[in-house]
Amino acid sequence: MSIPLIQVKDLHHTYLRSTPMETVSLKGVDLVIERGETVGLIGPTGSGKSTLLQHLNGLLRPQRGEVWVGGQSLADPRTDLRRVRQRVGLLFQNPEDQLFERYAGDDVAFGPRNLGLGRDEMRERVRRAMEAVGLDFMAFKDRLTVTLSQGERRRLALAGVLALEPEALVLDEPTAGLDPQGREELLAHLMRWRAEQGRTIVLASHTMEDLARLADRMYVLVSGRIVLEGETRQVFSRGEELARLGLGVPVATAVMWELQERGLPLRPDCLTVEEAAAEIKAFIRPFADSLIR
Amino acid sequence: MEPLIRVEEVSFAYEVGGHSIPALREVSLSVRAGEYLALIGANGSGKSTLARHLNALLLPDEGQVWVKGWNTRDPRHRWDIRRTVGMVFQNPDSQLVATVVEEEVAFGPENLGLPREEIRRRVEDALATVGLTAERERNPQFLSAGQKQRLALAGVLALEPECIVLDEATALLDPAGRAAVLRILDTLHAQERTIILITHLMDEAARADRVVVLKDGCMAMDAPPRRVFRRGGDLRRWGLTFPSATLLARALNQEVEGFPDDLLTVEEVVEAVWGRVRWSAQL
Repeated sequence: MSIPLIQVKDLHHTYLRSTPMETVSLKGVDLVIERGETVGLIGPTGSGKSTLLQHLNGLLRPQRGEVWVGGQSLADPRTDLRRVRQRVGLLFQNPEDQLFERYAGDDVAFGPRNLGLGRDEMRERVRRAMEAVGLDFMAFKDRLTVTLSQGERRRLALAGVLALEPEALVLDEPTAGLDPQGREELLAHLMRWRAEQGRTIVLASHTMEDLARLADRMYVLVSGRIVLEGETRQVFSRGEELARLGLGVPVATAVMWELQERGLPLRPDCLTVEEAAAEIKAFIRPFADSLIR
Repeated sequence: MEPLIRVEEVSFAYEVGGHSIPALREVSLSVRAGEYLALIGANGSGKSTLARHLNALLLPDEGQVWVKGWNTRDPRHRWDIRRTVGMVFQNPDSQLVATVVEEEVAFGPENLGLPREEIRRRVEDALATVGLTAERERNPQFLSAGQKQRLALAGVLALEPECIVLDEATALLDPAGRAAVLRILDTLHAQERTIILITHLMDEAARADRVVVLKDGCMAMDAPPRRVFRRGGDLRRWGLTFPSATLLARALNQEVEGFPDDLLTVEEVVEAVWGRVRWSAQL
C-alpha cells in the first residue's frame, strides 16, 4: 500500500502555552489525505480549522502528535520544510491582503524566484500559473496589483501558490467575501486545476454548497476534535447532527430532508440541485393537471 | 409621507493617487420607514459607498442625501443622522472597544448623555435582542466570531436607531452565526425597524422585501426579490447569481412542466412540491 500524501496523528496545539491567555486549539486530531482526493473541512468559527490547515504544510510544527507529508515527519528536524511547503501550497484566508509586489506578474514570481530557477523557466511557470486561474499573462503581468478587482487579486494570490507547482493545495475559506461571480470563477479554476492526475485539495469552508460540489470526503471539526467524517454525501445526510453543531447543509439537501420529514420516501443523500430535481420529479403531478397555474 | 431616507442623484468619486475613480453615478433611492431592503451587486459596484452616504460618513460630490428631512451636508444634524442610521461592518474586531460586554453596549448611550436608568434599560434590551444577556460580564475578546458580531449589533441597537445598515456583516460567520443574525433582523423588522442589508449571499437577499442592485455605481434594478431573481441574463451581467432555492426551482422546472421557477426559499420549494405530490408514483 502506498503511503498517504498527508497524515495527521493525535495532533494537539495550544496557543500562548503557559500564559494566562493559553488557548487549546487542537485536542488530538487524526486525519488522512490520499493523493488525488478533494477533502472538505467544516466546523464552527473557532473550531481550529485554520490551525489544523497551517500544520499541513509545516507552517506550524506539531507540539504533540505527528504530521507526515509524503511519509516525512514534520517533527523531524531533518525534514526540509521548504520542500514540504513546495509540495503542499497553502492559501490563507483573504490572501489578497498579502499581495505586496507592485506588479501582478512579480507577485506570482516571488515563490519561484526563491527556488533558484532560470529566467525562462520562471517566466514559463508564472505564465502557466496565471493562466490556470484565468489571468491572461500578457494582459495582466504588468498591471498594478492595486488596480485589480478583489476577485482578480484573490486569483492572483492563488497563482502565486500554483507557481510553486505543488501536488496539493490547502485552501482556507477560498471564496469567503467574494461576489457571486468571483466565487463561481474561483471554483471553476480549482476544478480545472485538480482535473490533472493526482492533484489534491484540502479546503475549509462555511459554504456548504461549495463543498457539496467539490469535496469527495469531509471532516467535521468541533472544539479541536474531529466529530464526524465520511463521504460528503454521508456527512450531509446527518442534517440534524450538523444543525446541532452549528453547521448547515446545502439547500438541496435541506429541501429533501424537509420533504422526507413529511413522509415522502426520497433518497436522503442528494447533494446538488440537479440530483435533487431528478429525485423529486417522480413524485410530482404534471402541473397541467392542476387547477392553479 | 416623507421617506426615512432620500438619496437624490448622488455621484461620488474616490481620489486615489491623483486619479478620480467614480464609485456612484447619479444614484437615487427612497427608503420608507419599516422597509427591509437588500443592497446587492458585484465587488466595486458601489454598495458600501452608498451605505456610507446614508449616515454622513461620506458626503456626496453631487446630489443630496436626506435622513428624516435632515441634509447630510448640514453639520448641525450629523449626530441626529448617526443616531437615526446605525452601521454594522464586516469585521466586529474593528468596532469593539470595551473589555466587558455590557460596557461595550453602554458605550454609545453613555456618549449620548442619557440618564443612568435609561442606559441600563437600553443595554438590557439590546443584549436580550441579540441573545447575549448571559455573556454580559465576559470580555468581548473571548467571545466567538458570531457572538462578537452580535455584540457589535447590540452596540448599534443601544442607540435605538430607526434604521440599521449591515455592510456584509454576515460574511465571516459560520452558518449558525449567520442564521442567528438573520433571525435578529427578522425580529427587528417585525418591530418596524428599517433594515438595509448589504450582502454577497443571494440566499440572504432573497429574504428582504425589496432588492436594490448596483452595477458600476449605477442603479441597475429596484424591485421585490422575486422579480429581481427572475432575470437570469441580467443577473449574470450584474455579476450575481440565483439564490440556491431558485436554482433548485429552476432545475425542477426543467424536469416538471409548469413547476414555478421563481421560488426564493427552502420553504417555498417544499410547499410547491408538497402541493403537487403524487403519492401513487412510488408507493
